[in-house]
Amino acid sequence: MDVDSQVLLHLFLTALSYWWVIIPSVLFGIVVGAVPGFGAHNTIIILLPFTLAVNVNVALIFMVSMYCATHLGGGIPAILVNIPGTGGAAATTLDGHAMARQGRAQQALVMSFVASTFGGLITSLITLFALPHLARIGLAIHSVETVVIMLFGLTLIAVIAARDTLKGLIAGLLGLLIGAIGADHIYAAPRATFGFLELYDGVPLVPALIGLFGISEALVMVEGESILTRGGRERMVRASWAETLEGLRMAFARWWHIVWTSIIGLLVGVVPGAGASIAAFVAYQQSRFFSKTPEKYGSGHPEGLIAPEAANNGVTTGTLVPLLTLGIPGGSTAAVMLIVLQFHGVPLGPKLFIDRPELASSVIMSMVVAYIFMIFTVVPLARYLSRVILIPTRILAPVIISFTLVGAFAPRQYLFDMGLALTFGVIGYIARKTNYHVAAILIGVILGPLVEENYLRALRIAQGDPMVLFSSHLAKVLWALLALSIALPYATAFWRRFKTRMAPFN
Amino acid sequence: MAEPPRDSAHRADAPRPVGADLILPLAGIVFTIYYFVTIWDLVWEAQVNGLMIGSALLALIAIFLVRTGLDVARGRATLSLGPLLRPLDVQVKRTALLLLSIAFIALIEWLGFTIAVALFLFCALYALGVRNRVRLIAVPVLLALAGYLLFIVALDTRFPHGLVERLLGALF
Repeated sequence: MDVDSQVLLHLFLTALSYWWVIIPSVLFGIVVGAVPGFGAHNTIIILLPFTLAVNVNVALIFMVSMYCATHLGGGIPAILVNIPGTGGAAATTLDGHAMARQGRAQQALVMSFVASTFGGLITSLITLFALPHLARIGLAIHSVETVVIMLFGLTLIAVIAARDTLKGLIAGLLGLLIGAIGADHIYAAPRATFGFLELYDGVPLVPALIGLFGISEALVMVEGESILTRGGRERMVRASWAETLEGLRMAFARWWHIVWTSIIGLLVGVVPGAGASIAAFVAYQQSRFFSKTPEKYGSGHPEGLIAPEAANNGVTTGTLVPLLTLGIPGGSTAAVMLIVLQFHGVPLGPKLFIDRPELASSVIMSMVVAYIFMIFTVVPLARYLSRVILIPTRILAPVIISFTLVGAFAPRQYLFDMGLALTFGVIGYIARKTNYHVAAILIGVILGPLVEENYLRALRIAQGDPMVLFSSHLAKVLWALLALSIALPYATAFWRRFKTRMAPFN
Repeated sequence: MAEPPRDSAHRADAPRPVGADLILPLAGIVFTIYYFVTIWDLVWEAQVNGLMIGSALLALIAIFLVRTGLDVARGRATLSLGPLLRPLDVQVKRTALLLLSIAFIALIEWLGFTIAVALFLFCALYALGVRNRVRLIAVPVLLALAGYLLFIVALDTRFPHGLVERLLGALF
């Protein structure tokens, strides 16, 4: 579709006229994004009667605004209490929470809000003009490449998140195997379900997220009186609006960082199934790789916070590209949107561009407008939200446990899932105390079923030949990158030792 | 330059406790074997993914165990559980939190969402050392009511209903 300025202006003004839908959706989306267990997809499912009852424009703008806001909201608990509200915010904990512990929670929240909204805004604008071209990326990725991308993403997470690469890889593979629990895709034969019918559909992701991050964090948290360090507490008590302004300055000073890391999010988001969690970790890794101060990452480095948050929101538009252009949902929220749009009789895929070409652009334009509203709505809240961190851990820990357990129940409404979350909480506690990073286990659990689905598809097409995983040029390049990402930490450590030993002779 | 204190120098040379590091790998071995047993009689499509991931996991754990074994043999590490159970005084609070969580899950069906959340919060706050009466009462009651409004009234989540939900259900 040709995009001319008149059409764009008309779409922009139309989206703007729905401010009465956008503002409450954004505020509601931030709240549900911040509560682990209530992502955009299950909230849209809960509110399905509303989306089906209203006209298609209101339904679309409501879903899109809420979707974008939940991606932003997920970063808030990740920064404040080290518990990502959504899987995409797992990488945000690495530097965001470290900043909060130092008493810079307000700055961290403002930077996260700016990175999220501008990351989303930039990628929405790019998508608006490049929608058909981005769709070609999705077409070039087949099941073989998808498997390798997921394994590559998991390897990056294991290498980045864990101090010990071997421990990180063990955690990631353990997560993948846990993710492979449940009935197989073809004959529905149960595998490793421990006799629980509730596990036949696989391990539900929300209890895994809640247990590994929320409950385990609460169990560790009780060791201290406060989340904050001694100096951090003094700083937080004195914090004023100046901290918000400083956060804005720090974020805008790194505008180029926001641009390129959000584009990483967009490109990863276009690949169906890859998702926000991988995008955020890939952006984090790339940010650290090109940084002049890579040693500061993990200790509260602003760029280590900006990169995953910008990418996490870059994904939002990316996941809608395969939905709009091919009719294939790029993620779980896009899948729910597909159902609502089909109910309203909206054709998706190539037919959309023939029957209702303006609709594809209006979806993306709604995102642009939602992000513009979002920046003005959320930044002033940072000062008040950051006060959460001052609550003593003896109060915070029970509150986290009770409300995250409740969140575990919400999606499937099984009491079993609360017990499962508690089990993952104990696994997460052991992982935290022994430096097996919980993010690697969680991303493994998320990717487990997706890896199996794509691997089986590739194998069936190749009539069972396992060498199919090396059958395309793109897959070979990705395998090489995967091997490189594992070898690089060892090679760097070897090189440092070698230089230290040679120093006396120079 | 000042000489470092003898105690810290001694601690720097002390062998690392790595016993706790073995818990997840050993659990990984047990789980992988269990996974293999459950797929033993299935068709290849149901086996292949688990076999690929499980074999890679076992291989990495084997490397890890060899590495740890060498560290122990060279005196650089010991098999004590170390950081997992420290600090010991907090272990009591942590265990209490876990037991209360189990009780919360077991009782929520009978007590209903609001009373179960309020009771759990009251007991957990007390177990963690909160003795201020206003906090002990206000925090559980206010948060349980906020949870009721958000999850049951606004989001219509089907949490188990008890006395409070039935009474308030007439209002909302």
